[in-house]
Amino acid sequence: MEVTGEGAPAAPKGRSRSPVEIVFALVLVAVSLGVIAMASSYPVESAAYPVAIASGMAVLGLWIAAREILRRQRGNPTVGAFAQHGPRLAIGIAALVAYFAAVSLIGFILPSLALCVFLPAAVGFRRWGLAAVVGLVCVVSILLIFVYALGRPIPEDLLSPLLAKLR
Amino acid sequence: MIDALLHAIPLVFAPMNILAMFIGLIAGLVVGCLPGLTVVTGLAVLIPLTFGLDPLFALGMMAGMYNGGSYGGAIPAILMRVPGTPASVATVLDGYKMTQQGKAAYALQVALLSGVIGSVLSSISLIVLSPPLVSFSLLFGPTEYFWLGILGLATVSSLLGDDLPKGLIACGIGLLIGAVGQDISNGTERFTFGQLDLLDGFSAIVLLTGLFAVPPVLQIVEEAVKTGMSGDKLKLHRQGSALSQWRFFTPVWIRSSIIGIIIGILPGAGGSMSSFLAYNEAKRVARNPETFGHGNPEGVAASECGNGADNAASLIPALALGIPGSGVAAVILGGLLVHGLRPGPQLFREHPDIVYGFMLQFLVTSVLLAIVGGLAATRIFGQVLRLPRIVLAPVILLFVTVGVYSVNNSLFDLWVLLGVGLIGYVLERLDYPSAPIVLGLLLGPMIESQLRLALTISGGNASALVSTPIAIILALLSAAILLTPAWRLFRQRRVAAA
Repeated sequence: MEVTGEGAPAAPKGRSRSPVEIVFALVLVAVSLGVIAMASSYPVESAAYPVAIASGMAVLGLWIAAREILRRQRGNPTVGAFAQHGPRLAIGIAALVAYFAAVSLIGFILPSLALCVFLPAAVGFRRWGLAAVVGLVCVVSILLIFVYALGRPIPEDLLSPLLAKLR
Repeated sequence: MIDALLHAIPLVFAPMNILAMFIGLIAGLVVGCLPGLTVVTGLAVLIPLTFGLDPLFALGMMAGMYNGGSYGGAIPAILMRVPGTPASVATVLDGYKMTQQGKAAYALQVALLSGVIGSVLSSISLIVLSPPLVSFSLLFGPTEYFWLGILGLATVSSLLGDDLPKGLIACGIGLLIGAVGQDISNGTERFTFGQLDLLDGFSAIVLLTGLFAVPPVLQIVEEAVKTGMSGDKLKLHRQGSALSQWRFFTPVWIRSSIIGIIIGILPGAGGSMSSFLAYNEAKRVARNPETFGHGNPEGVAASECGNGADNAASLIPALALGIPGSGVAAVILGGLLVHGLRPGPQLFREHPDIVYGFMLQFLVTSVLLAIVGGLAATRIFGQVLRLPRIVLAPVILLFVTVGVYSVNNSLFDLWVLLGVGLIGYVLERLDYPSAPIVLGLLLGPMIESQLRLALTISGGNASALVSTPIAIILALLSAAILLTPAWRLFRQRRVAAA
């Protein structure tokens, strides 16, 4: 039975995500120490609260890292790979970064249409026509409902002059 | 209370607000029936889109989405053996067997009617139980509010995951994010890195959207499911009436509703727990428990009724005290704050029309679900299951982008969304619960300000924090809840040793 939901997707069993657990816990410790260092320049009443939280987090981060290291030494590290499918995850992250960069540069409409077609294609979906139609319907719906009916803003777009004429 | 309800009725039944409830129900149904997307994801996408709209319009959509999504999860659970949401896992056990026996339409009817009854009773409990809890909270001062905040964080950190240190770290992340921005007591800029955008801190709406809406997008891309459900499965024809068998189902509905409501009120529980407990209880008292798991409609009724019954009930502590009973309630709490509505006695005093209107909207959407979730509607809205899931990933992102951008007209927020989404994905994959982060973010500023206020009033005497009976009880409860996982571990080891 496939069970998907609020939590993480079922990762392939057998592989261990133990190194990621340790690295992430140590990153949390480093961030907590950074917070404490930054807060040291604040007045005491402003610094006390974040320093208390960050100290707790540093201790808990060390606990998790130490626990995972001990588990590895005992031969029972946390099972389940970190990524369900590494290459597709990398494609997904790259697509998101590229999309937000494009939205910042040329606006919402064209990058959104491109994302709807190219992201599914990049992970092997070959029904380009369906992806394009879904993307077009979605973008047009957003424009009609949120921009024209509700007057909500979208990022400044290359096509803004054209849209203004259509209004 | 009666006066406030009477004032709220015309507002709730205003045409635009009824439309909002319908939209929310349909959106919830669609989100719920798509495996991999949950009500939390749907709400995270919806909340920024409702920013700036009339509060009751926005809250009507949220209420509709919660109730619609709750039933929506049953559709793929029954038709495809794939639960749309974690709470519909128990529905699979008998629902799919009924489909195999050619009773899919009947199973869907039983699920819908049971969900509606559970939701209606849950909404009534929300309306009846919230005001007394608010009256009780009027006894609270800064010390009690401080401990109440700690109790909320302790319960969600301790009970929502299997790993207390990870729950506490998630909570700490939320608290630290909540500390970013200008300290209102002395103007000190904390962790802003000179960015003007951070002077008021991170936007709660951007953070909760990033945490709950971006990770499912990456999850869908990773899974890359390129096919949808066969259209044949949606050719549903009426098979008898579940309503005409009300005598048969009534005991199951009553038991499951009580279980769902109690679980909903308890912080840190809810969702799949209530449906599983209701299912197990129905099986325990059944004359023929061996038929459960083999297509017994009572199993579907118990699971869906328990699931529906914890929806509105989880908002009782959220609306009255600002302490959500579940992850969904935490997100709705964020949605209320986005509209300038801070839960607690103040909300009931200053905006009775809105808070009672919201509670009534839960009741109305529970009833409207019977229409929107009917067989004909299921045939129409269930068509979304025919779309390959991979096509939906960019669609979610588009709505999220528009919603988040329009909150502050800020491209900076989009980058925050991306950053938080990626961190949220890592946290999910490493089993750090996300709900404590939201709760830490929402409760952090309140906890800090009430702590400072309590210490100022007492002249810096820390013992004042445990100087009243309510404060002591709340502090002891928090400690007990934090010790629960250790106690559980101790018992497990003792049992294993024996």
